[in-house]
Amino acid sequence: MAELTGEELVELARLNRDQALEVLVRNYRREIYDLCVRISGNATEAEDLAQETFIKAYENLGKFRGEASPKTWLYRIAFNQSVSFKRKMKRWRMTRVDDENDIFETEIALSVESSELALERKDLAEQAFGELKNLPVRQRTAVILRMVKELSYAEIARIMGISVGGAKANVHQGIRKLREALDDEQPVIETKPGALLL
Amino acid sequence: MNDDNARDRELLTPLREVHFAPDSDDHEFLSTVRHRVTVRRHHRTIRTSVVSSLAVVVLIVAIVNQSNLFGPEYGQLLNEDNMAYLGWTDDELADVTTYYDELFSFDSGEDDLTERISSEMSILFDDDPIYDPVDYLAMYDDEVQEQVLEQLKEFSIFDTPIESPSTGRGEI
Repeated sequence: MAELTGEELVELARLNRDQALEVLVRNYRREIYDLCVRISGNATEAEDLAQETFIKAYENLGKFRGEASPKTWLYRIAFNQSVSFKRKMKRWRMTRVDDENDIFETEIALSVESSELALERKDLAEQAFGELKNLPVRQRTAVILRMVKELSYAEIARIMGISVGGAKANVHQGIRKLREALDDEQPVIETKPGALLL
Repeated sequence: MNDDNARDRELLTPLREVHFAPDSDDHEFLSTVRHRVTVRRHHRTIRTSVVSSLAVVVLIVAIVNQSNLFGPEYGQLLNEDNMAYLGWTDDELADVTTYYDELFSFDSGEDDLTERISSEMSILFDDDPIYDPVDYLAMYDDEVQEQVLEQLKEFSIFDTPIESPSTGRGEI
């Protein structure tokens, strides 16, 4: 599916906002949901965050100027919604009912289990996701955007509303913590020079 | 990605190999989003009105009590004595109390003006014991200040004319 440009979205929104919403959902819903699951670690919360993201997008279509790509714009809204949600939960001292079931591991484990990875890579994936959830939300998001979504630091900065230096700092701090945690967990594997460790 | 350590990229490869897909289809999702947009629009209309009303209550009760009275239970200000002082009926009090409860249970974002106001008003629930309502009102856009002051004028409880508080305390 061809990537929608910012200018195309502006024009589409000008002609028909409902149709613009439909196009956004069709093109980006899966991307946004995937990001929200990774940030929140919870499928139910991610579905809600994804809905909030598209509601906000619809309400703000008139303000979108096409300077960023629609995907970057939606990522930014999704990130803001995620942070806002966490803050709201903290403010009202709320916890999810399903927190007790450690839903993050459950969600990740099911997804990993159903993926077509070799067994040892499934273990590694579960470990990586398990450690990812321990990072502060900003570092977690920065790592996801950089290492999973493969965005530039400038794009990450724009999405998170921080400087490029701040984006780099969040990525590097997050990765350092992950590296330390995963190195502690993983057995030492003898490899030939240049071979992949995983 | 050139400046990322190759070892780190390898280490985090498993994160890239798993993808998460939603359960519902696009049509169902779109219907839900559209429905929530409609509901949100309705709530926002109510909230705008409620926030203004609450701001009036904060301001008036503070002035009546010579300011500096705000503790964590802002909702307690919505009592019969204060409402009677403002000339509100029991029905109006019941409406405001209901709206008050709804206001702080709405689930919404924080970008628009009313959301900012409600978000900042929630500070009153936190542990900061002292809050100056005049400074509080002065934080808002001129339009909101004017809106509150217009309502204040209707109560006719002040001896001196009410001017814009945007320059701070002392003009009310």
